[in-house]
Amino acid sequence: MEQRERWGSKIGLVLAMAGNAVGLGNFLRFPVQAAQNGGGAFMIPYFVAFILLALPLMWIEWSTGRLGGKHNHGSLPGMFDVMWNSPFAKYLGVSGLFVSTIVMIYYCYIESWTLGFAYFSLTQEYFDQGTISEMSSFLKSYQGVESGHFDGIGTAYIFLLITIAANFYILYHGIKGGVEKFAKVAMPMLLVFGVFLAIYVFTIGTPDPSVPENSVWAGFAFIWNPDFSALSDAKIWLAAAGQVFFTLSVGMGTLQAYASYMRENEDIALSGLATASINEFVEVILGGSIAIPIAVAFFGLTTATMIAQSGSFNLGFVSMAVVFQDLPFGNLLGAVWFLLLFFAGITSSVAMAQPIISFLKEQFGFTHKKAVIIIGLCLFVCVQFVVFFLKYGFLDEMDYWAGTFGLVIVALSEVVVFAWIYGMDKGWAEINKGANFKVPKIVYYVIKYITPVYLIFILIYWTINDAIPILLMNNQAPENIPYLWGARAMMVILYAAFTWLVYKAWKINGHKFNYHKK
Amino acid sequence: MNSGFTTTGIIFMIAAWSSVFLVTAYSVGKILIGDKFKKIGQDDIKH
Repeated sequence: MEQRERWGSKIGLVLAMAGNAVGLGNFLRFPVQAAQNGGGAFMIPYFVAFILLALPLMWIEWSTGRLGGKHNHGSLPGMFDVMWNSPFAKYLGVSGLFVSTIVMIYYCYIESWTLGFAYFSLTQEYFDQGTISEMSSFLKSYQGVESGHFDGIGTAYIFLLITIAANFYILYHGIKGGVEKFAKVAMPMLLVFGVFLAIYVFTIGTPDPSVPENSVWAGFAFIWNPDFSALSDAKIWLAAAGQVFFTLSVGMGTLQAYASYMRENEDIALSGLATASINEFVEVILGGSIAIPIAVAFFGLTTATMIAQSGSFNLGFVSMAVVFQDLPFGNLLGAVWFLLLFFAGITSSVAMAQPIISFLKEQFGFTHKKAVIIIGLCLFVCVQFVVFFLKYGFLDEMDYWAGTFGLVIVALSEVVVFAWIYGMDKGWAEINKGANFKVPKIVYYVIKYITPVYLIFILIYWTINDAIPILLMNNQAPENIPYLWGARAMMVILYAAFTWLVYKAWKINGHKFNYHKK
Repeated sequence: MNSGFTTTGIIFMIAAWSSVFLVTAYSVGKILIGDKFKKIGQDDIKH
């Protein structure tokens, strides 16, 4: 078995973790959620959810990961097995392998669109699509959803291959030589691009002086003017909780996988806080200052709202692309914007592969390179369905069950295992071991009582309002239904395969796992 | 300027931005300083 790798430096670890957390949602989902849910008032439930839900989960995941890594486990089945002396524990952890792998499959495809659009910006490929509807058709044609500018999905496929190759090139070079090295370059570049674009947005002011109400300031007002009546609406609190959940990449098993490569007494309290705060800087300050203010300045509040509500991708890929055509050096600005999204995406997608790569190496003795090549080939096969069945809702189905509902299931499992089975006293000691920052004692009670109750509440609400209608395929076009069943079949097969692999792994190695023996 | 930006909206934005900025600066700054000291310590040991 290969010796377990370690992170090269604390800042490299924090940048890789922050890269994992910062994703497309920071720039595309956050401003839409804020604007749709009470503007400035949304930030009150958002920060409450951040403190009561996201930050505790962040510390739980870092602690779980570091503890698992001490026993040579880089994925949730082994980590839960360490924390819970039960034959069921490792099977509960299968959800961690499942969620990260499924999300990686479709996320890579979305990520490849950003690379494609960066190229199209530089080459001015879309610069004759001057309206929202023309640009929307351009995007759909690129995705193969409808015919138009592109002749089939050949172009999208080339960018997908480049994206997969880039992801697995980074992964092939391991934690220190691949992920950490890349994060040290990509995260500063992402921040520079983001700050540059945010400052540029401030200089736009009112693009058409004859329509003074369409300005970037009106965009900021749209996001930040508070509607306090929204605070009494439970939906707003759940939307805020959902946003902090997505934005920090908790509930996927990826933070734990990265944390498993830490040394036993390395700080997690301050590093976890730094990761979360870098993510918030990118989301609240940069994410809220680009797409929505630009859309409001160029299209007005009503149209910008319609674009935002018609889907997160339309704001990022359609309205921004139309605006770049009207700006001086618009091709360069467009390239900066889409590369910013690409860096946000790739630093997250490489993390998604880490749990399953660690699992294959640790449980089946695969070399790192062999594990990466096998996962790369599996991803390549599975992503074909996402590419060719996109227009039938294949991607959306995977996104809901793994990327939305699955996150809450994994998070609830880990907080229950951590606080109630492993024990909050031992868990608290684990969080504070080697800490460079004193975590306030109140967090102990938040993790034990408030975070699980909050998660149960979200799970019940989402089950009733979303999961049951989606499960029953209400409001689905009849031609989509076979493909949605296909997506479900693929997910069930992968879940069953992971469960079988865990069963086999413990049959082979179970006798070596002696952490429960006195 | 007819932006519709209210005083409360501006206060909210400034409060959110400054709190996020301060926590980020504190935590990342402390880690950077820690890494620097660690590196100096390691260099001393090597010498």
